[in-house]
Amino acid sequence: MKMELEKLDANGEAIPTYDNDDIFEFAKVFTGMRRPLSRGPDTNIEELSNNYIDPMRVSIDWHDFDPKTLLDGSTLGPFNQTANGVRDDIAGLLDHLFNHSNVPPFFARFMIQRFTVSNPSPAYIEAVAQAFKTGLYDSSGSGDRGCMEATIKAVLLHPEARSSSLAYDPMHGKLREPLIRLLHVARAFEITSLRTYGWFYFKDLHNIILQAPYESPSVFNFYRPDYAPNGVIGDAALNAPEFQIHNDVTALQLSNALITLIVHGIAGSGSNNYGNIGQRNNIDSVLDFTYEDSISGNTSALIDHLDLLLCAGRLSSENRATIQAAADTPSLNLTGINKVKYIAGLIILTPEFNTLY
Amino acid sequence: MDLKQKISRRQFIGQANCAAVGTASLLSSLLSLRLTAGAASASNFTDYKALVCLFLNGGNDSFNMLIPRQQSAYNEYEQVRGGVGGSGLAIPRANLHQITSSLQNTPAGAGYSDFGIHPDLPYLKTLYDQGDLAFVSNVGSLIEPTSLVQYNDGSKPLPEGLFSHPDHQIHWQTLVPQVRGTAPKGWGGRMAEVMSHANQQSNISMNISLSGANVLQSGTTTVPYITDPGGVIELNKYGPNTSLGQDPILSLAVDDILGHHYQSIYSKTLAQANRNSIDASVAFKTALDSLSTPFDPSAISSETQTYKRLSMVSKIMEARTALSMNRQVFFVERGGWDHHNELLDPQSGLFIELNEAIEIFWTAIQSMGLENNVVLYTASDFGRTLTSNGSGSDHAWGGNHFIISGSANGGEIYGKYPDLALDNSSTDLGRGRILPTTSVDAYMAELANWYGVPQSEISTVIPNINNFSFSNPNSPLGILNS
Repeated sequence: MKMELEKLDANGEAIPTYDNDDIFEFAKVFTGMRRPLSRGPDTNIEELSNNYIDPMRVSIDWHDFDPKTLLDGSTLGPFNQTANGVRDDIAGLLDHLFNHSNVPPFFARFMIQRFTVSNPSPAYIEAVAQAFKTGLYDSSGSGDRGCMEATIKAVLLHPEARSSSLAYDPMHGKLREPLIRLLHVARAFEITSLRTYGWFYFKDLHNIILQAPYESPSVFNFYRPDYAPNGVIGDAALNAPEFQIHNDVTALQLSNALITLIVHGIAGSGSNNYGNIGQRNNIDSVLDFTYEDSISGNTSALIDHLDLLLCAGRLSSENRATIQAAADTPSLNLTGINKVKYIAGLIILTPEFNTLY
Repeated sequence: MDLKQKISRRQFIGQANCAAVGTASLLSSLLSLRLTAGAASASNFTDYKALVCLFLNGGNDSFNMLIPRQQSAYNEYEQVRGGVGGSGLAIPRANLHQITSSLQNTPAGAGYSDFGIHPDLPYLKTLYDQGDLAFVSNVGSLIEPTSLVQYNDGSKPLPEGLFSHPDHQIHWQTLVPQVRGTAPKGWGGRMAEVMSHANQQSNISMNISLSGANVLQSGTTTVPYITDPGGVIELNKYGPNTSLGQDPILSLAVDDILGHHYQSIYSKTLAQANRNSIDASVAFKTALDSLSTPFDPSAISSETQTYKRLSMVSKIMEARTALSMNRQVFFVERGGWDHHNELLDPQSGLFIELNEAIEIFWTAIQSMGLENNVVLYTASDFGRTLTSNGSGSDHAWGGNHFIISGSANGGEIYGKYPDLALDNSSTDLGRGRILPTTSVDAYMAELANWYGVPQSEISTVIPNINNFSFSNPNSPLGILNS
């Protein structure tokens, strides 16, 4: 049986699942929680000023124990006025939300947009939503609703993500998230932290690229799932969420940040930077170009290797020729690791690195 | 939008039609039929006018910004806000900066003349008394004029997603609150399209944002140029003025990469966006560096974010000639107004920031002699509930706003300040959620008319404007009609 993915009213507008009254009602559930106590000295954690590791504590006096009305009109609670009662109240609402019929297609679309394509077909969304709902994909998975193994497999293995003919469809693909692009370069060259606790301290990323862990400006993520930039994407009534945070400032700041990472590592101010991404006036994480250095004598082979690492081997022949001509310009006299960095610095400016298709 | 190319009228029509496919019929008609007239009726703009939108993101509790001071009305205010002190949200009467309004002292107004401005906004009183600031009371998104009876009996269409942040924020910017989401595009973007002939020599967008992408400035064919209060961001080693110097080999390679043909719509969009960003940044940096006192972000690095952004706005205005700008719209956002948990202290902190930033900004505008050429106005999601939730106030609807300009008939409170007593109120929807009596459309039409949008194009920019009637359509509120 086909899953219902969307319900519209007579005017073609989506019907809201909840309204302001529901928000007021649900807010009462999330009361009576406070920050956990400090953990004290810890040999594995550099930042000790707040405890972000242990669960929050419950304060019974601060919890609203009145029964709450749920989306389907049923009642949650009342629960015992104890710490466990608070936990039951919260768990009850989370279960209620998790089991809502909107969740599988909603979550499926978001996962597909993050991992593979911006504009999945209804069939693709339905396949992933079914895997989420049943907890099964191609006989793997736990069989429990929400099984991530089954869900992610459905996202990555669907024909709409893998068929080789998709390379000829101009609508297929997505702009990659800026944080993913930055971490891709860091991991491709085996980033190593020079700090005692091994921390990779990217400073102010949310200002530089408008994206960083735990820095979403609201509960609505860094961008809307239906954002459409003007031009060919907007004209075709398609979506490209990540373009919402790709603007005149972030486009150039991300490029500068990537080149800083390649040339210096995670470097702060004062290190002759293209753009600061580090905490302070030093370099505290570095990339490893030992292998690339060893093959740098042959520019063509070096570009092949960097293309594989950074563009999955999709660098166009035109861009390859442009980059090789620049790197082999006699007046630049590029050799060894400097040539590696110069080429990598140009590759990160190509659409092949920045987009999936 | 390609910043370098002026779009031809033919492209203009084609793109507008194309983008309207799939949206509500209202939009397809307004976009396809009305966009053309402005582009066709080219005229010479020789004067300079700029709008500065100060968006208070989160919903400013603006019934604590402009407060009735007349004793009987203050008593009602004090009561509905739960008193002064403790968990009460009222500001002590003695601390208010007193102003008077003759417009409110009429049957069409509040019926009294004595008002007060929040204690932490003394500069607003200075401007008000000088006649350079006007308040507009009880503004909110509406589709048609709506009474409390009509609201309750459902006989008038209401904005989608009432009392929700994202919906109200978008409604203030699209001015099409009967549609949920951003598909109608922003009125600042539509205005730039209707007036695309105003800055014909410029390769920078008419719309400039100091606060990132936004709905207001995004039209069907136009997007804002987004810049940073820390200075012009350039691709390092690309342009002639970057901090590491220019690498001409790299510049050529970047030009090649961005100029190649890409089949993927994501690659194509990325290459075009980056091309535009690089070109605009070089032009912008050149213009700002050419000023007698070039912009120095380090001089203001320790200042508040509103201060920094408004400083950059005044610097860009100073470079208006170098940038070939006759008309500009600036977007500056300050978040942090969603005061559910605590109102008085955090709002006070934000007002202190605004007061200082506006004073520095307006002083710079005056020193350039642009006080009659610039209008700064506030926008915000919504007003907040008059009653306390026990610690702060919650999402509501109508709220108070202000316009600053030498061109304003200032020293007045426009609109109708509502009765804050909730018994027998004609505007209370419960808990002191006030039904707006002035539409955002009327407020924005006041600005658009002043900016130079011809009367024949106003309904392109403000699609619902004809649902409201005004004695003077060229100045619906009477603030900027001189």
